[in-house]
Amino acid sequence: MNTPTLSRRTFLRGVGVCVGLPFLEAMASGASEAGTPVKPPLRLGWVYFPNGMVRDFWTPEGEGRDFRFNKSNAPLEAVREHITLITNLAHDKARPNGDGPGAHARDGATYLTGVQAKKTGGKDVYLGISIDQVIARDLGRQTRLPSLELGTEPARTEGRCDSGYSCIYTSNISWRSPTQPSGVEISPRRAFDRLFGVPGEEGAAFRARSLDRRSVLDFVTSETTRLKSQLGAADRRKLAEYLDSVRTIEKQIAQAEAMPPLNVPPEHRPAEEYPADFLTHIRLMYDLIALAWQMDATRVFTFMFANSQTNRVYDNLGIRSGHHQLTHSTGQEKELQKIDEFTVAEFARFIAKLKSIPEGTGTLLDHCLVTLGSGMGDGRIHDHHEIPTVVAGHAGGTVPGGRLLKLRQETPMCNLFVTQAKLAGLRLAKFGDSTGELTELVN
Amino acid sequence: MRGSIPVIIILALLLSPSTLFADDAFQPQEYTRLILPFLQKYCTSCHQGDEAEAGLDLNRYAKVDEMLAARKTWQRVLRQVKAGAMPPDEEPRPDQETTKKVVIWLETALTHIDPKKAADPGRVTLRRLNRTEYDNTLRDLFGVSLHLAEAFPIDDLGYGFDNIGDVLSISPLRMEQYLNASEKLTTLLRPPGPKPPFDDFIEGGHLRHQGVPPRNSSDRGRELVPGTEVYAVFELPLPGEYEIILQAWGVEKPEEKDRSNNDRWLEEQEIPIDPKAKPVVEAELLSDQRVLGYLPVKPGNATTAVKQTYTLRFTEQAGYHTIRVRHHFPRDLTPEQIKAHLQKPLLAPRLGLRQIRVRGPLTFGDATLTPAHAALLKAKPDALSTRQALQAIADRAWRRPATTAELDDLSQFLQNQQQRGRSFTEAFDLTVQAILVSPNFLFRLEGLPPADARGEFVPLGDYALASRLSYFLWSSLPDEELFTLAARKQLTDPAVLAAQVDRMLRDPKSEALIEGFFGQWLGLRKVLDVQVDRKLFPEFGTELREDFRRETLLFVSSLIQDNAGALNLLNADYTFLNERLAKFYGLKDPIKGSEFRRVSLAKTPRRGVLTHGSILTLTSYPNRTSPTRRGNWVLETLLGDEPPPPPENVPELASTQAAQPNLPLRKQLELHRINPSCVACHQTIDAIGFGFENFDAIGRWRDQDKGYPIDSSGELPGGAKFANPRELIEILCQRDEDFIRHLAGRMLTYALGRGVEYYDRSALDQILERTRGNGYRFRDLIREVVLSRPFLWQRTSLEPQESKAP
Repeated sequence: MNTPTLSRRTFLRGVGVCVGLPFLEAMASGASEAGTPVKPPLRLGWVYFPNGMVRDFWTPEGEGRDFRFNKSNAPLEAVREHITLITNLAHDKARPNGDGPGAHARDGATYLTGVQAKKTGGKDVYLGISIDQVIARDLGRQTRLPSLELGTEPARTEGRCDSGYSCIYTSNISWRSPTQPSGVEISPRRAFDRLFGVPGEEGAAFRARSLDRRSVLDFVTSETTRLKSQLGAADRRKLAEYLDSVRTIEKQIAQAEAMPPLNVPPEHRPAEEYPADFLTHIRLMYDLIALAWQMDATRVFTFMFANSQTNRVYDNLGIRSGHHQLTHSTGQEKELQKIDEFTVAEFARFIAKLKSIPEGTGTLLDHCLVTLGSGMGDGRIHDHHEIPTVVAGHAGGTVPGGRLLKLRQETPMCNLFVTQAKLAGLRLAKFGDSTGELTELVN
Repeated sequence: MRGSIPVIIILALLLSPSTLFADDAFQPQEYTRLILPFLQKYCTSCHQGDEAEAGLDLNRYAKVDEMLAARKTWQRVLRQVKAGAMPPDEEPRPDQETTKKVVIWLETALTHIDPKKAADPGRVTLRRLNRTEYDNTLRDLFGVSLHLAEAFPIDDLGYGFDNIGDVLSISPLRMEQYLNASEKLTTLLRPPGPKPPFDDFIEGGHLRHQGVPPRNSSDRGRELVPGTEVYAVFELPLPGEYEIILQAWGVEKPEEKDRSNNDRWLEEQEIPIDPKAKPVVEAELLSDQRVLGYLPVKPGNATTAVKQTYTLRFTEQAGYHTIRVRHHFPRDLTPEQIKAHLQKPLLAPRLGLRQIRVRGPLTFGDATLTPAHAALLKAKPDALSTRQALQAIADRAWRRPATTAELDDLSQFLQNQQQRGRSFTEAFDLTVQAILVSPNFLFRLEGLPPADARGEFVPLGDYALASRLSYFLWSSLPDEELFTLAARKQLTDPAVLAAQVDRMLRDPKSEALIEGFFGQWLGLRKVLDVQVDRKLFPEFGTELREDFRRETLLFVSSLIQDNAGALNLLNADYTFLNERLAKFYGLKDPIKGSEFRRVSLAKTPRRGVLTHGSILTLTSYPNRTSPTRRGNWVLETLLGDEPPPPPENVPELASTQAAQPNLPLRKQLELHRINPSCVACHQTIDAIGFGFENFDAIGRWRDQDKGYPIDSSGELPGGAKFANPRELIEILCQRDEDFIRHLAGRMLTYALGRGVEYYDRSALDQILERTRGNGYRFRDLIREVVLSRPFLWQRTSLEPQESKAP
């Protein structure tokens, strides 16, 4: 790993400061011509943290507007008026329910799907579509990328993942279909290029290739049809997946052609090398998301702070043992708490960044909804209730913030998703194991 | 502690050589006589109905056929009962005799196959090329060394391997990367422009050397005295003509005494270059062992070397090449003069080097191009030439002859591109891109005979077989010889196949098997990023990780090249070490230099892979050893005895460690195992793990831990006693049949890209039978995997077949 370069620091400092402001401009011109203000679109995002959090240091006191943060969520004080703390959300489908051990694989798999992952070490991976993808199918039609999936750790390249579950479950939270995860991008450079297009001359050549790519993709689509007859069912599923990806790219190309190119100053493009340390990596990813939203390159994101069951050593916090290992050791609450607080602090920093970006008559934070959550409650017990959950942003003024919602015990996390989908204009009768809506979130 | 006595007996089963497979007396009627009453008595009080514990309703299996239709479920039941983890402690537990009978019956039933029927060869789900295979395939198809797949998302794993059809998916992200990669590739395959794609240099201070070190090493350069050589490794992306540019100078009369530090460079003034000066020394340039030429070098110093460069062109294939620069006396010296110099070599003329730069390719020159690359460059805009060129590429890229219809389509596609304004070259490149993002390239399509001409099981076609073979042993496409054999329909001849396996294993491309199979089976890939507490183990750096990995890979590689018996993996008394690793292991005999060589371990406590730093570190925590992980690794990875997973919510070492933090680890773990259903597995697991406690968390030998002497003695359930790691390893070697069967199963999984199913048992039996006589030699095992029915045949039924009753 190389040390951070100057350009990366410039990038970190520059975001939110010197980039063009599409909605502000659009509003100015739109308002003057048509007389009606252009309303900034709603954006949604979900951040995932692994290994749960130490409950004793998480559970906040009080209720409604009158609440006190606990140690681990204290960093949210800085954005208090813009966040909603939610207690008592649960993910029943992350529990064994007859499948035995594997709390971590189910934790990541269930978080945004609300579905019991099929226990398999390889064959027949089966889960469910995740909420971000449900919403992206709708919101994503108008942006360069329908959705953005980011992470910081590569999929584990070795060994059995969590008690007989395929590694696919521990390294993905976004699922396009029950059998197909969306894939996770962990390189800031590649994420940038996908979001905004490659800048400069390189970019011009890239756009010129769009037509070529469409021809190539057309061709392979028809060749694939020819193959189908000689294949079995499982094989045909693989080819269907292939065709699905081909079509998605075709759509992206069509979208990119229909959209004006995004004029992001090239100095914002991250270096090609991976960031030298975890903190830089996390911040780069958050900054990229903020920039993507600001530029309206996508309206939906998911971000895995780390993979399920990560055994990352947080040496930036002076911790010497792996994160997962710590949850299995008694007396390590203080160490774990440091990680929890760090996770929240970086999230709070991101929220503050969104708040610093003007948009319309307010800020970007007024027009989005970002959730910090998980499929696991307390990592030491590997349980799946009282999952630490924070919803930040105001969703166009519908979510007031500044409150602690104390829900009924065992309220399904999916109820929150149903309500979030509704705010995005999607009426879902049911999602995952939802039992209703989470009306408390809204006014 | 009611359950503890039978538990011990069951453990004896868990760690006793399995003789079960030899006797296949499957008695279906015993299900009603033996199993059903057992279930009634010990299981169904919890495991029945809608509310059944763990969702396991054992009342659903009234008949033996119903039970055999749910093999996966019953494997779990078997595992729990065999390990003594079920029934739980608080419930009545069966006596040892009954348990033994039940376990034996279940093992027989679950692996039974009807000998009167043709064995099911299984069906492999369409496999996408994984990252390694993608890169290797392009390497061999076009003769390039580009690593384009490094930009792809990481491949998911199934059954511990990254080549399992069922989990290798394609996402839009990956699809986009395929497009990127194919575009980059076709650009690079065209004759290079004025700015060559490769341009890299190594500064003098970073040049490596062998033998006598060069003099006056510093950041700015090195001086070579007679008989010395420096080198640098470059990875050339393409075949073609490259140039080496040396920043060099000659020193005609070196000072009598070297100044040992870098002061020299500080004082050095730029000296005027004399265009008429005579060369005082020559640089002999080599690529690997091939002499490229000689460059006469004029006097100067490190400062002037920037302005006075020496260039030599050479032609080379893509890939890693060691560019060497050797000191050479000028040609006009007489033998007497040279002799005089050699008597005082430090005073002889020196060759100074400030930089070695390599750039290119400038042209493809007369480099040998692969047939596919040559076809791309030769294609002319007329229909026939175009079609032939496309055929030459598609036939290989798709690893089978392209059909007439496919070639029509490709030609038509190319024409369409020209019609929409692309030049011929652009259109041709787009067609090659289409070939490379086609499912015919990205997936390993094995094809089926026409529907009316196929039975339930059919042999694999010749080309599909060639690919299975080449991707198994090389992780790449078949070479011309395999293609030719497939075209002549000779590959299905067992003698031909066996000869090919031997040939292919001798080819350096078979390193892919070492890294791909052994690297993943043993977990070696993880060594490069395993978390280790650097505060406790400051010596554990990148170099050591790489050494660890190299050691084990070289060791395994030697076992295969020597066709050694597979048990050597466990108990060989030699390994491969370099100076750093030998010191780290505390070896008495001195070993010099960074190169690895075979080293005897006879006088050391180390034997086999279980005492390699790689495995010992992988099975430890970042800050301490974990006997449980080590024991579990031996059972699971080497013997295939996967213990049932621990119950949920068991804190590791929780209460004991907090209460008595100063006790040695062994005592803590003993206190920790108070629950009989924990003891059941942990007694075996921990006993094995503690046998390796003499090795610390990064694999160094130690006699003490936290001031307590290490006790690595132990006794396995069943009575086998050992006093140290070496004796434990010998005990493990007595389970040779289990080890080999598991190894063969893992190899079959890797070779086929699917999990091993019960119906593969006869194939595994046969592999063992045919290799037993010669002591299960590695190459024999690989050959028998290739000759096995699951490798050579496939099931044609399109739907996945659920296990049927016999």
